[in-house]
Amino acid sequence: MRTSARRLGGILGQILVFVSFFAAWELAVHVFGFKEVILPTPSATFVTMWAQRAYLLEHTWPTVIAILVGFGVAAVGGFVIAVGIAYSRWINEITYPFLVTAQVVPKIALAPLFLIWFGVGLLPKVVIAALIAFFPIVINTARGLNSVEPELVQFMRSLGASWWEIFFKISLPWALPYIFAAAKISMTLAVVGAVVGEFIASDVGLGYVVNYANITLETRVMFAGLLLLSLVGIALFLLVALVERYVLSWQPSVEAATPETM
Amino acid sequence: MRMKGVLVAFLAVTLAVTVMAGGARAADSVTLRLDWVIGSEHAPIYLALEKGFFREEGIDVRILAGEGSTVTVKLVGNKSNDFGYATADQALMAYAKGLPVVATAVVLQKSPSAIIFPKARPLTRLEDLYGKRLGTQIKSVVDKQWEAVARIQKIDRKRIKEIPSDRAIAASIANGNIDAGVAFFFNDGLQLEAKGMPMSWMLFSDLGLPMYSTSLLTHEDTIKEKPDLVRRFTRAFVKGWTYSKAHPEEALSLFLKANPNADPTYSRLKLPAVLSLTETPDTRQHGIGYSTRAGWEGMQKALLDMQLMDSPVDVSKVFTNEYLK
Amino acid sequence: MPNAPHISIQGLDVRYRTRAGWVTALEGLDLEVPPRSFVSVVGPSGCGKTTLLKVVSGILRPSRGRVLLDGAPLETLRLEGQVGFVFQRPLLLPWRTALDNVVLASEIVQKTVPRPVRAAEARRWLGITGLTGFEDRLPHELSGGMQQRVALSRALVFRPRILLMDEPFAALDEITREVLQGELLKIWSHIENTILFITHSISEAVLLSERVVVLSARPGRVLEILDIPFPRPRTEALRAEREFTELVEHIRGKLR
Repeated sequence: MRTSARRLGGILGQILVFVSFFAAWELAVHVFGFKEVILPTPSATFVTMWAQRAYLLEHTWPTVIAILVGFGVAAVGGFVIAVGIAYSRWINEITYPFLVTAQVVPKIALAPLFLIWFGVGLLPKVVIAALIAFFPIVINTARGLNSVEPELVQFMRSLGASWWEIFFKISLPWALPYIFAAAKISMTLAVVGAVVGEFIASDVGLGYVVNYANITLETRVMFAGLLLLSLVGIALFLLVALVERYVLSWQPSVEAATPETM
Repeated sequence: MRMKGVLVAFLAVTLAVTVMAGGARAADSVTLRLDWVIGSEHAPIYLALEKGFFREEGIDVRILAGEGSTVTVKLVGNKSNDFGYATADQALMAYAKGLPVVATAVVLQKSPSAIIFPKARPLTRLEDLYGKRLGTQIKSVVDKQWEAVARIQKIDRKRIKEIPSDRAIAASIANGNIDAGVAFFFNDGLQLEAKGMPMSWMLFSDLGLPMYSTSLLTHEDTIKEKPDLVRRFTRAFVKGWTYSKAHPEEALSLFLKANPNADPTYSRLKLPAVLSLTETPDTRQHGIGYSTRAGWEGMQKALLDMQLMDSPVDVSKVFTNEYLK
Repeated sequence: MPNAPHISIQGLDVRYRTRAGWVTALEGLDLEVPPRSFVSVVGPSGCGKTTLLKVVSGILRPSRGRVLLDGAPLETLRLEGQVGFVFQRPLLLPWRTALDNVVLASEIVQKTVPRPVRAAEARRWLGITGLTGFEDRLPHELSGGMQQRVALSRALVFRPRILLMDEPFAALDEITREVLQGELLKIWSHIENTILFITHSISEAVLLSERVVVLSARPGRVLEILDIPFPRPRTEALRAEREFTELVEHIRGKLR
């Protein structure tokens, strides 16, 4: 009873934060008298979102596909590299500096080159999304795999378990909480990456909508696109969280783990 | 990150508030926001600065690099910068969207938008593009201009292989990925020429699309509140251009001195090309910066046709020749 | 239990390299562990007790000396699946139920045994260790003592010849510890395989084992080997006897 009441309070609080944010935004526009082309009100943005729903939705799917494919490539590629790093000191040592360098290079600076290398369409978006998103997967997966209790591995070896058995029965499930934590971060990064890709080399997608609306001074459409993009990002984040909750259902929930006082 | 859009909005609010708070400043210290990164197309502005034209008018000016005319008109329309150097079509569009910017001098009388191509594979008319690869800029109003030109010239765009190339037009031509590109001829075109690839172009302004281009802009309120400042600034600004037109070598060397990182070959090619765009029968008669109501009306009609504007405005509110005197 | 072996440890040296240089964990260690006996090793912390277990289980190769199982050198034997391990921490897989954690061991060792048979055997061991009714609980839903019972079941479910226990009760509260000590003895009386038991509790060693090996501080050397004469079954009541106290005091004196 108490936990569900507290939970409800938490959700109400979260909603309240959003509501106050939009209220403050609305108020600020009126108080400071911003021109709509500079900063539209949230209400005007919502109205535009509804009015332009067909246009916006048409451009939502290419973005969603780019995010998901980019994320998928990052997840699979990152996982494979992470396994190499976790189990081979040699691979770890030779690849780590490169990975860090690849991570800190601002991908957006390469933008015009991406256009030449990968052309226009899904490919450059996926490449950028995957490049931006794969780093957390690599780092966290490797960390997760390395965090396995050595005594447990020792126990498995004493039983005669093969590398594969240890990997699939112990290490992989052991690393899953780390992998999911990374996947949540990576999914949001993939959103950023796909949008960067759409800024550079695309004639479809919400990134294109935002960029184009900016040039044509349709700021309301630009904000509608941004808002929709945020919603897409939140939805995809929650999707990962949902899968995590299903896969890691064995984990003690935060509420169960927190002893009730009184 | 999941809140990206909201965050952007929040930052926009914060930024705008900060900018408004910083509104008060000393009378004659002003900012000028350029249209793009600094290049020799801005050499006459540097000349005015270096030769003290602004100082003579009692103005201390700070020149800021731009990120496209779209941003510049917003910054001027929001009074974040006192003056701006941006394209006239963007100014008109901004005015229609409720940003009261006014052009006090139309410096580039013709749009540098063009179809650019290597001289080695020449085009003589637009129909020559049929079956060829044309790099377009989908993230720019230049694309809309190309659309309009194609419409006016009755070009069947389906017969042209259009490849979105945006900021990579020059690189894509050099690479052989495209045969021609929609671009500012003095940017991508001359950039390639500076790299040793002789280039040629067809200007949109010669293809039936009359567009004023880069102009000096300020806010309606500034004109109302400080007409004298606007007059003095415009005068010094235009003087820079007039002087540069007469002494292009001096303008170039002053520019290269002020911007030692600029590519001298490219800068040398670009400046005369830019200066040539300042001259029309109108300016020969009335001086650099002069524009006509007919010219603005023609541009407005084109913008309405391109659906970049929803409804016409009174163009006489968007430009004035008053401060050229 | 299938042929519990005689373990013979002869002249064992274990050295390994750390950042600070070479460390000698064990030096000149000789020890006989008769079949079906319960031998405890006590000593100050860091005396190489755990190292000894690693050598006996075949995970760690000694620098010198050898370990014989029924006269055959360890390295010539395939030891996998013949050694059950219980650690100080239960080290259960948090995503597996108590039953599945026990089954884990037989999954590896008894691949040919049909799944339902493995499950039934695991269930039987959870019953022996007193966990009937808790088979489907996840580790975090069990107390520390119960988790250690699961770990014990997991170590025994595949019928290993040797049971190696590394301070298995050290992390438990006193009452739970005493209960589990009693139960271990009861279980051992049924299975009677060879148990090598490491502890830092002298009284625990004396209470449980037939033989106590006292190791010195690092490098670990055998200070004394004592045979514990008390008859079985032993109970907690033994602790009150004078002879018990004297033995504990004697060992404590050795370690001082």
